[in-house]
Amino acid sequence: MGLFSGFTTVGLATTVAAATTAAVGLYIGYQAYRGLRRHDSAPMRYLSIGMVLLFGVAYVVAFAGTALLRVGRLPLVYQDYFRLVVRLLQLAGLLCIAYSLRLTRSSERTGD
Amino acid sequence: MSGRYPRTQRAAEQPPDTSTQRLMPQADDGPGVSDEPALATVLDLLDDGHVRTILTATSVEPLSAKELSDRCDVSTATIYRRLDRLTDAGLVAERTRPRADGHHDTVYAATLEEFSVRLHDGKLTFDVDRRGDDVADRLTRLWEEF
Repeated sequence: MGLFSGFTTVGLATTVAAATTAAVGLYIGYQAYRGLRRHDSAPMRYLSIGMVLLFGVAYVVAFAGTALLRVGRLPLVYQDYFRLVVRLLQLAGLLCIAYSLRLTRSSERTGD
Repeated sequence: MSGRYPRTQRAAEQPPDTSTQRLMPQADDGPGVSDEPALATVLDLLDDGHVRTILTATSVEPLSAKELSDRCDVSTATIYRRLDRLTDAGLVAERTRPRADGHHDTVYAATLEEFSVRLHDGKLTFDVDRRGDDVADRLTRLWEEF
């Protein structure tokens, strides 16, 4: 089964939506990174790391994994492990963003 | 994602038949820069010693009017008058700073990055470069105040 043989309109729309989500997420992550560079802000460091993990790394892994599963390069038995890896990457990204929020509040308390 | 700082430029040439009051023609640079201060306004502000102290102090860290009045050794009323003119000209921006008791102080941060005048080929132009207008700056502010 080829990589693109099973592409229906819905499948294509899903891929486009997922790619757009990743692009917008990475754009916000990039702006957070620029905020980090310009203001040397610790919350922005974790926000940018979180965004890149969530929308960059997790997306690329998910896309690559799906492609490998489709062409049969990756045995189906690994499918569950692969799903777990994607979930863990998403969790790590969200934890970074949550930590960034904690930093934001503690920096407010000191009036910094 | 163009330049690091938005750059606005306005022609400052003086047509021979206009009065000195209208030295700065209201150049139409499109939306967003229509509230650009006139050259005279900027020069007037920079001519003031307290204004320069306010700008230099708030370029390091945002300060409240009270803190500025301590630094300049003048009344808060004097500071507020200058801050009003500076914010109107867009050279200083208001921010909020949370306090330990949960209230917020109004603090002021310099947005002026560079001011330059250029005389070339029969035209006098001036530039006001600001910081803080950038997407990254706004996101940082938004997230830090979240």
